[in-house]
Amino acid sequence: MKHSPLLKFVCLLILAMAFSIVFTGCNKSNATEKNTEQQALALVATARTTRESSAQSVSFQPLSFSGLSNENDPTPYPDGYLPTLPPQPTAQPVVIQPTVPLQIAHVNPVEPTQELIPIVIVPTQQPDSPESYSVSASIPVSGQVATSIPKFGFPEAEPNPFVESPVEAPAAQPADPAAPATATAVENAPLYTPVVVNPKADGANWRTLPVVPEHISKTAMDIYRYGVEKMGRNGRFFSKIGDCHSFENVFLGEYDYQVGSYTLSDSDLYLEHAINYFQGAFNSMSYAVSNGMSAASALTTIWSDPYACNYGESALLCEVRIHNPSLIFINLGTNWVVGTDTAVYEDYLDEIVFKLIQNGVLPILTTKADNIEGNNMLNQITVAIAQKYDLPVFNFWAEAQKLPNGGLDATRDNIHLAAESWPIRSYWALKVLYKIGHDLNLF
Amino acid sequence: MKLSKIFFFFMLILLLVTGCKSGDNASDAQIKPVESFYNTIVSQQRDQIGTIACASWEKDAYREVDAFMGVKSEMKDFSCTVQNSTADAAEVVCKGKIAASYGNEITDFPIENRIHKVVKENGEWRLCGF
Repeated sequence: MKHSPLLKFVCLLILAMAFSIVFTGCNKSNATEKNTEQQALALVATARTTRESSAQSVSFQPLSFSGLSNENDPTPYPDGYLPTLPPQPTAQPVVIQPTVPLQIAHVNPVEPTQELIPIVIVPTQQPDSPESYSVSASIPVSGQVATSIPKFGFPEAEPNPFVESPVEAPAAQPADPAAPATATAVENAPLYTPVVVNPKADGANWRTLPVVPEHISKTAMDIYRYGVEKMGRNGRFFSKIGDCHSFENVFLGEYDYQVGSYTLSDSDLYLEHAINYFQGAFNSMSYAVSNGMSAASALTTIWSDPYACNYGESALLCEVRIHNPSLIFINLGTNWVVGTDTAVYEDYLDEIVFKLIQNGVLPILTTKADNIEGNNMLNQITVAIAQKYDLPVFNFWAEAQKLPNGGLDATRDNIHLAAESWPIRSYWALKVLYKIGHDLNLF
Repeated sequence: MKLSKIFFFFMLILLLVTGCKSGDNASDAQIKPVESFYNTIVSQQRDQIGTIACASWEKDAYREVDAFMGVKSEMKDFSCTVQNSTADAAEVVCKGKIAASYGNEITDFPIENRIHKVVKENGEWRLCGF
């Protein structure tokens, strides 16, 4: 059988092409894998970094001088860090470039023998964004803190929200010395079974609710007590879930002695009970607070801190595990896409609340000042969920209506709170904490 | 006779080529729902989830997408490969991150620790968790 040379040549050519296809086809994926391995190494080196920088505007370093020791603090800073201050062995004033007007507005009762170290912490930016913060404080060598908050141009003509009926000032010490300074969660403790008290609650009356709840329900008290007594929750620690409005420099952080920038009128000195009792919690960085955090985000694992949280752990449960709170403010709803079905928010919020109750943490649901959704449905849903489980509501919306532009920053988007509203919101949240603590006989 | 051998060898090579190409197609099909999932997150098209997630994981998939609805996000250095596979299931791992911006701040959400479970459901590959 004879074959022409041309036929042989064609066959060999096809063969060569076939080999070529096989090798290029199969080697392509290997090359891709090598590239992605190199990219992975680079990614490991440049992992998520923004969390702490966004939460703090002052630099931090380990505490290295005496007089501000936090050894007896029931819930010290998680990392044992304090704002950067130069060591001051004597009670000399420390002033760091004051750029905004600061003053000591009120001096709380302190022991006559105590020496005060006036301190001014200067903002790194102007106080028009959540990243900036300005405080002044007098930190005693040991004991109380006397402070004032710059008013950031808040109109003097507005009704003073700090005036209430006169109340006798409390003794400046924790009223419950038997309360544990710290607590450790009980491993494998049975979960609490959430009780649906009002299955048909619709939250329709949300606008008329008081800013501070008038009473704390037995259901709510049972959750707190179960959490503390059966699950080992820290009865003296509260936490926060939310977006940038819940960063410690925006929400409640000023009441920590180590920040110390609050002012209390004589009629409000009773709030020192709550300030003393929950020391350490106010300025704690929550793992369930992040820029852009939504109700859905708090439930997902990708929003949890990869360096602090366990694999597969949501930001919500990560915060519960690490800080072991007994109370938690839920400040959600602002990060919302207009046009989305609000039923989605209801589902997620319900799940958050349910999981917290199961874990022995008493949720405090907060209404928001903005109306990004257009019909205030998110606030109504928030209250409906609270009523469903008989939980306390911090109706900040009601207070915000008394503020200029509803407490919102018109120069941004009428969604974010104006900086002037931050301390007012914190003040009312403190009153909510006091109310809960009072009704629970914590102090 | 010699030509017959060459022809036989040629057919064998063709068979190999076909097998190799068919393997790539299967791999692509298994990776596709994972890539679509992350593209859905950054494009905020939550209604696409119905064609990406398996039935039992659909609710979770919606949550994952909703979690990024309040921020602007994009995929960075994103690529996926099949780690293990059978006829009806596969594990897909990816490199890269979701870069979410909020105001002037960008937060990275790395995804390389995830092992994406992909299953064949009604003849189509669907993402079924990670």
